[in-house]
Amino acid sequence: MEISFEGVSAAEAGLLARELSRDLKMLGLPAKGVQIRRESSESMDLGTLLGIDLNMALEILSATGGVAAFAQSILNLVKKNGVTVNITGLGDRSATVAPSTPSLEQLEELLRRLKQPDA
Amino acid sequence: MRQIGVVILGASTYDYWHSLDDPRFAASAKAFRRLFTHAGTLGGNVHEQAQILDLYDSPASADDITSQIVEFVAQSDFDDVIIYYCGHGFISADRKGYCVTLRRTKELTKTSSSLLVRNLAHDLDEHLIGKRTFIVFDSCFSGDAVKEFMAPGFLDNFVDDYLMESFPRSGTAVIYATSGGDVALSKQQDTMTLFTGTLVNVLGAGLEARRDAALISWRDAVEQVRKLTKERLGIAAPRPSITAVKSDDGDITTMPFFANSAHARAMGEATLSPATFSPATLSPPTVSQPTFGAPAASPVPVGSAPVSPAPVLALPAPAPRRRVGLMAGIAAAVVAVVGGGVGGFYVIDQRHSQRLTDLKLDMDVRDSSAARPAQAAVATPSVAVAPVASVVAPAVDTAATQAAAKAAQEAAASAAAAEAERQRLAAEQRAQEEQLAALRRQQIEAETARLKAAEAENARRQAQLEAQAEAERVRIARISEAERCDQLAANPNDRAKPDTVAGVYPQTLQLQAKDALAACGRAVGYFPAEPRFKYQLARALQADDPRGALALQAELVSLSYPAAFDPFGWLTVQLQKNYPAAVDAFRKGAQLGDPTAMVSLARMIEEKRFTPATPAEGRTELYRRAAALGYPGAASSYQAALKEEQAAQERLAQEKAAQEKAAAQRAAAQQRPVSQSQPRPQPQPVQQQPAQRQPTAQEQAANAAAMGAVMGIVGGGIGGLINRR
Repeated sequence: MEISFEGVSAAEAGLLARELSRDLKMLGLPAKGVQIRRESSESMDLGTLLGIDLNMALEILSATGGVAAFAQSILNLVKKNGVTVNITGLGDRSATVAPSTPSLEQLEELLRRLKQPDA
Repeated sequence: MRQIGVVILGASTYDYWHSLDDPRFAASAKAFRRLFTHAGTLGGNVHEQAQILDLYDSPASADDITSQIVEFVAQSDFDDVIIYYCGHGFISADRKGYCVTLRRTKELTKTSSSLLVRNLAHDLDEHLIGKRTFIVFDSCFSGDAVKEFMAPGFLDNFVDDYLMESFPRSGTAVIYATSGGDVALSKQQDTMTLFTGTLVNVLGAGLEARRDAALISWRDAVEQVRKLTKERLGIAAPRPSITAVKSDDGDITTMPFFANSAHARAMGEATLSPATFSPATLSPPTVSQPTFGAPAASPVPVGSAPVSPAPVLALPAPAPRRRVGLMAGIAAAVVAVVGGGVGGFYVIDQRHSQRLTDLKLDMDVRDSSAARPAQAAVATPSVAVAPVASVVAPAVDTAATQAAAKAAQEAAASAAAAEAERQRLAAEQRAQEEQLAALRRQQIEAETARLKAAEAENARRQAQLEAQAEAERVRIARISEAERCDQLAANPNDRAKPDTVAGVYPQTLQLQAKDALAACGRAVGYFPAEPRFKYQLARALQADDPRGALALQAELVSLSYPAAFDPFGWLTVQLQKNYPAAVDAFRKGAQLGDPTAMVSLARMIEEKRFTPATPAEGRTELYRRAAALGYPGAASSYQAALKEEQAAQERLAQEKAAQEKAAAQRAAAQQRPVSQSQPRPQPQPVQQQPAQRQPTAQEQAANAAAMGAVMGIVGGGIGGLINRR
């Protein structure tokens, strides 16, 4: 699963990736399950994308309250920074969380759908 | 004489973070370094020289690297200091500092194992007083990103707090490869980074637009880089920029700094070509015309990494030409002495020349008597060779001959060594070229494969999207047909129809039967498992093809589709006159809750074709249920039936009362002769009407619903029951 950030500069995206990485680790995601990646090998930065091990992410989402906590982390990031978050990498499923996403419940629903690839 | 100190920083290989490796960084650093080791890059009419502290790919820690830079600057007397960095840069996690990565940078400790620019600025502070300082960052987020991520106006604060105080006297300029938080680029098809590669080419080619200017400034160069970058990559290209941090002595960014090759070309002078700085010529320069510079004036700082005191001469001066003549004369004399005549012509490069000059100086010291005639011959070397040989030869003694022979041997050995060195350098250069070519081939192949894969992936996604779009189009078309079937042929009393569909009565349906047949026929094809469309198709068919409609309704009856029983019954009557079968169908439809079947069954009762066995199948009850379900006209029929029922009950009661009265009169007549004296019987009070049966609560509710239905259809023709099937 890969999380990218739209509507901000590459530098800000790198910082947000680090911030979200820290938040997800606090939710219990193992450190080895999170990796900051560069968008292109031609970029001279340290990375603007947050790669998350799919199995580990699903473990988090499947835990009790996991979806809510995950959603809260992303929503906080989105609201605080006015950034749009794209979540991809679950087959052909993806989700876009914009600052206009009205509620935590809506985001949770998005994540639940991600959690159920066959749904 | 302007003294320039250049610090080359950065990393192209990362010992602990291999994914950051990029050989283009090293090529960029080499090319930048070469700008200051190559004659002609720097402008000015005086001999300028650059001392270079090359810490690129140094395995030293950030602390050690800072120390070496500070020592390098502190122990020299530079007019200009250039600090160049090429590599990966990033904003610290606390968003308060800009870091550049080094060879020993680790992913886990990237902040502490990288070089925090703020720390370097602090340590350099006092040592840069009175110097012009140019800081070049060929790295990400080196420009306005700093400002963007810190407090408002952070760049100013950053500069004021960390840079300006370090460079307080003569000004500082910061050159950024990017601005606005963009990433700097190291394009795969290039051999250098985007910024440095373009800068090097700009300085090599000069500015044609300013060919009248012999010298160009840093700002000129950076703006040209920006222009070329935008021309190449469009509006999304990184935007290099230059900022004058402090300029007490004027804007140093506009100070003439580099020679303008375009001007030199225009003036017909020998100049550097852009190819001189191409990646293929990253090895030490080979200058076509021998040039010599003064030896480095300042000693190399102790502990510095490789320092190349590179002698640079901007313009050819008389002295080198004189020395060339001297060297040629010596060589000719040596050849004449050893070989007995002019044996050949040597193409001598700079190194050979330098060594032979040193040799000559040694000979001057050892044997001034032998050197003097040779020096005398130098004045006219081209014509003096033979006279020297003829005049000197008789006069030389044995010692001089031996010395000359020894010198010739040493010269030959030196020439051989120089040739070997040249060949080694050439081989090294070839190896580098081959390595770069191989790298480029690999990159091209990888890029080609990537593009092909991307193209295939795009084609697959496109096909998938088209398939999805087609499926969606078909789905929408089918839904549209289904909706049209509902609109044209749905029964208003079919409880299985969508609530949003009003339905049409048979009279209306007959007017649009053709369209309804088409729409419902397609709907049945699209949704064969949905019985409603088949029912509606049968409705549309009923007028023109009752037998076909009967077959369809029979099929639906077998599926217990409630609304199908009523038309099935009436079609049975119409086609087969089979009333029992019709009654049976109406009964089942009524049991399944179809109001039309209820009303039809009530009609069968009225026509005496069916006698209900239970009150639940009584006419009144059937009308009441149909009215409760909203069947038009059922409410009034219920009221009428109810009145008839009450009237019948009254009639029954009156008949019973009359019968009882007659029986009583008969009994009195029989008793009268026996008891004449008995008082005449008093007239009986009028018998009370039998109490009307009070409706149950359920019946009251049904009555209320029926009355509501009656009120709801005011104006809808409630005079009588309409066949609403």
